[in-house]
Amino acid sequence: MRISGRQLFWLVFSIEIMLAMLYSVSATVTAAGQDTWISMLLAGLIGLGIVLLIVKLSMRYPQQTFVQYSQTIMGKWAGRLLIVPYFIMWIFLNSMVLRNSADFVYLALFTKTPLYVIMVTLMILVVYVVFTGGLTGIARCGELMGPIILVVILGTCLLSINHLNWHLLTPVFWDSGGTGILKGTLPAAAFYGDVIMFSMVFAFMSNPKQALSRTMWGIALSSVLVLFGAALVIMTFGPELPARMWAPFFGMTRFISVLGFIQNVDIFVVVIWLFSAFIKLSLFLFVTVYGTAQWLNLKNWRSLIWVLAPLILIFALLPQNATAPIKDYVQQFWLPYVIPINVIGIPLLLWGVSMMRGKSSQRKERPE
Amino acid sequence: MSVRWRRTSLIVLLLLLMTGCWDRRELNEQALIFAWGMDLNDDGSYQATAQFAIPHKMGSNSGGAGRAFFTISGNGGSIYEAAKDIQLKVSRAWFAGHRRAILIGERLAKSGLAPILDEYSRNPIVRLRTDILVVKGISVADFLALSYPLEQLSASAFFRIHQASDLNPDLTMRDFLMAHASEEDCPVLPVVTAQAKPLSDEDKQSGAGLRLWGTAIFDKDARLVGNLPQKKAHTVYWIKGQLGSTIRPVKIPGEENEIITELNRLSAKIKTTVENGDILIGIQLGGYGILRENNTQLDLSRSQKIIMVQNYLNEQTADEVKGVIQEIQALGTDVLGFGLAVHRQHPQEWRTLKKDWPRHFRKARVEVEVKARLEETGMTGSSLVLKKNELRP
Repeated sequence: MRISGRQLFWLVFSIEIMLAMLYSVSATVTAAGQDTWISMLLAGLIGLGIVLLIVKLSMRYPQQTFVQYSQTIMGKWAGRLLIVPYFIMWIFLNSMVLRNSADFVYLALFTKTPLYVIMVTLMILVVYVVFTGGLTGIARCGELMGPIILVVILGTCLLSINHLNWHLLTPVFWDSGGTGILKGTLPAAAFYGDVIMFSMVFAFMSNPKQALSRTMWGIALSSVLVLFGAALVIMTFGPELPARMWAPFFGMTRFISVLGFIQNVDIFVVVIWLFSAFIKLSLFLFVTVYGTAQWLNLKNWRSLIWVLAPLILIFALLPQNATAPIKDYVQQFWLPYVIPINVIGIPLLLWGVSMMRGKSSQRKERPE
Repeated sequence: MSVRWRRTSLIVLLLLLMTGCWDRRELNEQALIFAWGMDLNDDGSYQATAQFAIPHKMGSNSGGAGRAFFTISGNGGSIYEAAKDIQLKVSRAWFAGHRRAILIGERLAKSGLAPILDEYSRNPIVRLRTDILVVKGISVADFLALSYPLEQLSASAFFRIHQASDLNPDLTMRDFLMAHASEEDCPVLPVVTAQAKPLSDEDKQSGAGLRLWGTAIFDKDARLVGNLPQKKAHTVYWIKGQLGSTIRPVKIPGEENEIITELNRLSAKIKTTVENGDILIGIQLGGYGILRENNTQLDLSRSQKIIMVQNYLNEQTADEVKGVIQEIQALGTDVLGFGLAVHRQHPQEWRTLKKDWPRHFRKARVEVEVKARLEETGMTGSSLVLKKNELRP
């Protein structure tokens, strides 16, 4: 299994953009009002910082996945212990993404279809691509669907231009102030935190030198688009209403009406949402399964799919409300635990220890 | 358990899921709602009225005048309960995705819209791109039952009548919600009216005096507190920068009749100054005028005459705008965007002003300057209908 630099770029882009575009805006507007775009800018920079940390760490051991090099750095047992929080994160992130993807489709299209039907359908597709295609298959899907996602997002932004009022972005800075903007930055930056998943992917690069630049470009492009998307949302609905909508960007696309006949383009957003959700779910499932297999020293990682996929499905069905979980999840699980421990804390620790030990990275075999 | 066997079983499994939609709703098994009306009953419950399209009467060229809709009303303590009551009287499940206009009875508007607006933005089937109109002088149920000769569905007539007056009806609901949610603004809604009861059948056929009457002003609690007739309402939309064009008569001293001008490409600028809590609001209105009627004896082929007319136009318009603003200031409802302007231009002072904005709005000093340019006078200089001795040099 090998992936090219271009495939990595499209993977990062299509995985990061949709969830941030649809769900981060609402939380950020609540705190930052019309200064949301500043928060988004800072969040993008934080995202780039996280990428820098993770790629720099991974590139010290370009032939190894995260699970492998944490053992290389910390020793066999301590390294394995360090993976425990990641295992928890993998399972929860997977089920959360599955739940959100299904919720969105449920709310936007199939309000009478039982939620589990949507989830199971999605999960079957995901299991199929992970089982048969592995990372190569997922990367090819990303290469194919990523450009479509980009075109649709640019298109919806363009079509929204006709009733924008840039006055709604003013006064800049006065209302929210530094604290408001920073408060808004956190929930937005949280969405870029899941780039940590790629620490399991860099080892499969056919040309590891491209890892840094391609991941950076992926995050940069999606955060710039989210920034523009958020600004457009504010210019359409003002600084008050988006805070109360569950997906303001989607609300904006539902609002599009150009020349009286280009209307109801929101269906395209649902389609690219499904694309993004599919790539995200399959990559995350692959990371979870492959990582767990390496963690437990199992040879046949594919067989783990049949254990972990149902587990993820069950966790995804647990929350009861349709739209509340994403907010609770970010506020109660992702921000206080995952970001400081999994995304920043442990990678920094590993990096520090690895630096102290010097460049004595013994080369293990590349994963197959 | 070869790979091929597994693949085949997976494909079969996937095929099971591709048998089509099970919660399908065929178009000919639905009742399509095109307009929805809400009013308040005497006992405080809501009366909802829906206008349904009759599909087989639509789209036929021969029976153009025929009504292609019918209306049904129901009562209940909330929108959904009233809707359920309607459903008991309709033979098909309905679909509200095509709803373009929501009509609000005057009594309901006066008691406040906040309790009913939530549903209109929550329901995922319905878009925010909706027109809302307040119905004046006639009950909502009667109003929705009116037919209009040009449109098969009178619901399109409400929407288009609003559109034809140079405003964008698509944005009505959004603007209302935005103004209601903001800390500065108060919302407005257009008002439509029709001839009050009793209506003969012929009246019903000819549209029964259906017209856009003006604008309703709401306070911060979404309660209707005042009405402005269309001419004054134009001023409001001009100041808010939402108006495309307007007609202004100009009175020339010493002349019996008026000159009528049409102003296009309207613009508005609000400049605010805040000094020790005193607020001065300077409004500069601009536009490009076309002279449409000259019922005076002026010879407009001379440019100083045109400038004279332009000066009178600006003076008189400014006075009129000032009058409208004073009328609104007396209500204490900022529908003109003054609060927004103060907020943007003086964000620091706004922090204290916003706590008591209605009071500040009432006593703000307003200066109006109109700078319209009269660019065209049409194909004649002095009027062709005048006799030679009536011409003034």
